[in-house]
Amino acid sequence: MLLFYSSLVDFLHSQYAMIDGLFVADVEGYWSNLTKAENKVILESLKNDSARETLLRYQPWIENVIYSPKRQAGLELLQLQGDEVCIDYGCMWGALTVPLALRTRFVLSVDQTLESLQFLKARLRDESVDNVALLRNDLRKMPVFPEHVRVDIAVVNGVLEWIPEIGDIELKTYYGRRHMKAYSGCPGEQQEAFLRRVHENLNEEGRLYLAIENRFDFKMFLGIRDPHSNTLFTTILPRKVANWLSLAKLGRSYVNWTYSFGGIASLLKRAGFSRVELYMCFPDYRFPERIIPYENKWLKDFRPTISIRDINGRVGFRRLVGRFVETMVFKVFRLKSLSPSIIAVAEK
Amino acid sequence: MIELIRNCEHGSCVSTYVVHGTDSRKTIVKLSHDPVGIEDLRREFEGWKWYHLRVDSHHPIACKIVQENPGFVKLCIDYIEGTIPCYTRGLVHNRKYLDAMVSHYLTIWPYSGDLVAMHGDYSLGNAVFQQGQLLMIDWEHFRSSAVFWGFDVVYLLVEALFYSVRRFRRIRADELDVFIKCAQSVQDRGELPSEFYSRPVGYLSDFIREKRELWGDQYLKFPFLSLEKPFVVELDDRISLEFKRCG
Repeated sequence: MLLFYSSLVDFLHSQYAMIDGLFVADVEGYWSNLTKAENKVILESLKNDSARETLLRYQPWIENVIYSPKRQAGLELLQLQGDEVCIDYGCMWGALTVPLALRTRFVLSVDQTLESLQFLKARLRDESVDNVALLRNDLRKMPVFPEHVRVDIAVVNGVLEWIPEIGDIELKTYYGRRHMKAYSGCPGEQQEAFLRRVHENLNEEGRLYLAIENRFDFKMFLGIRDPHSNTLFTTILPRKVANWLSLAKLGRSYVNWTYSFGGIASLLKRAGFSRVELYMCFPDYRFPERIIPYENKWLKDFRPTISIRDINGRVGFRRLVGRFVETMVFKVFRLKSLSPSIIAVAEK
Repeated sequence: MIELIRNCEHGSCVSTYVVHGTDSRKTIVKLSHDPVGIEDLRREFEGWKWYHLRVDSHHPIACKIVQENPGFVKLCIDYIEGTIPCYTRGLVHNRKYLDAMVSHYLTIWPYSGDLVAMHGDYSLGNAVFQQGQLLMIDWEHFRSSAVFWGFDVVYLLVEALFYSVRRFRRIRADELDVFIKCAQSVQDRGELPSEFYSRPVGYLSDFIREKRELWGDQYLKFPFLSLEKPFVVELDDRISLEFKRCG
């Protein structure tokens, strides 16, 4: 690792302490689908078992979320050549870090949650991936890199909408539950500031891969809840109204801002990015089945992606309706602005 | 411009894209960082190489591995414009395509009593018809010297029959007639296993189950494997009766 990326690694050494193989900033923070107690069990098991075996034993539902080969499909939009140095902002358990590392020169993976990085470290060991450095840091407090260590690729995958969030988040006990919280600042400005820093830390030919839910995902109009706050209609309503709803239901402001296609393009331009390519992603960016350039006018080859069967093979009425609506919205009426997810590839 | 068109379908670990070049040429890109997917892509590359030497094509089809390291393989294949038949429409509707595919098989795979190479998914859905010429695509299940001669065309006919039965909800005599005639044209050029004539669907299903390692987890995608045994027996009885009647 030192042979090829010594400048960046030297810089990391100059900025951060190294503890147990991880670069560590002086921050606190926790964001995980698992509780701290569950993570503790996982980490204990990792001393003797592989990362995958540990998950299958203690949290089998999450194994596919982390290891599914589907997850990396969007990375090809970057047209990687193999010699890139990358940063994965908000890497969690490495769903994109590992595929990125297997096809580029080096990846710096950053997350605020120590437990996630410790799991990822074990995973990298199991899979013999040795071109990754792990950094525990608050994504909003990333330093400006000196010019000679700026990177080729930045990945922000399912992260932007969580930038304005504060405090420890155990998603199981947080999602949709009432937690009184006082935020400061405008979520949009915080997201823009984060993206500005991402932009600054790219070299001249650098590119950003950003994936996020579409604010106007067609399902949001049909009563499907906001996937970040479990509230109804908050993504599609004006921000002020969404705020009132969130305060009433959850005791806290609505901060998980998502954007429309136009909104994301504007945000990226304000953050300094010069050229933005947008893609529609079905059924979502996490497990994509189809990724289609937004400039594709007609969607004439669109095939519905919502399965009528659940994971047990049972046909569900809601799924049938969802598939029908998906077909009508995209294949018949071609309302591409209502696609479920957005992937943006932006150039510095 | 890049489009993801398939992502790890039917147990596969390969992502497939169409890349639209600036010169309006298109390329298919397939990639994987999963060990099973990587093996599939290497097989696809071998399959194209094997096929390319044997097919008489107006335009050579390029298939190359453009990136390869221990944990990642990326393949680029020329996009082939043309018509792909609708495999769910039954045998009568697809008669001319089936005849062309049987004829294509007999050309590419001259009869041999030994084990022969396998496409592994020789299906209407993987046949591209372009200006009167047929090219088979999706060679990820390719194996050399793996199956009996005629396997791929037996698979083609049984799969087509399955979709016919599913579409019409019964075994139609005209559909069965096409099945028999196609099988007979194969028999004119070589010898299929005798058990095929007495229980074609059951025989093929059993063969695939016994050799499931040739397809890995993807063997479960073969639709006729989901048929209930009594129905398979009924279907086989009807087909074998027709074979006897036609001599």
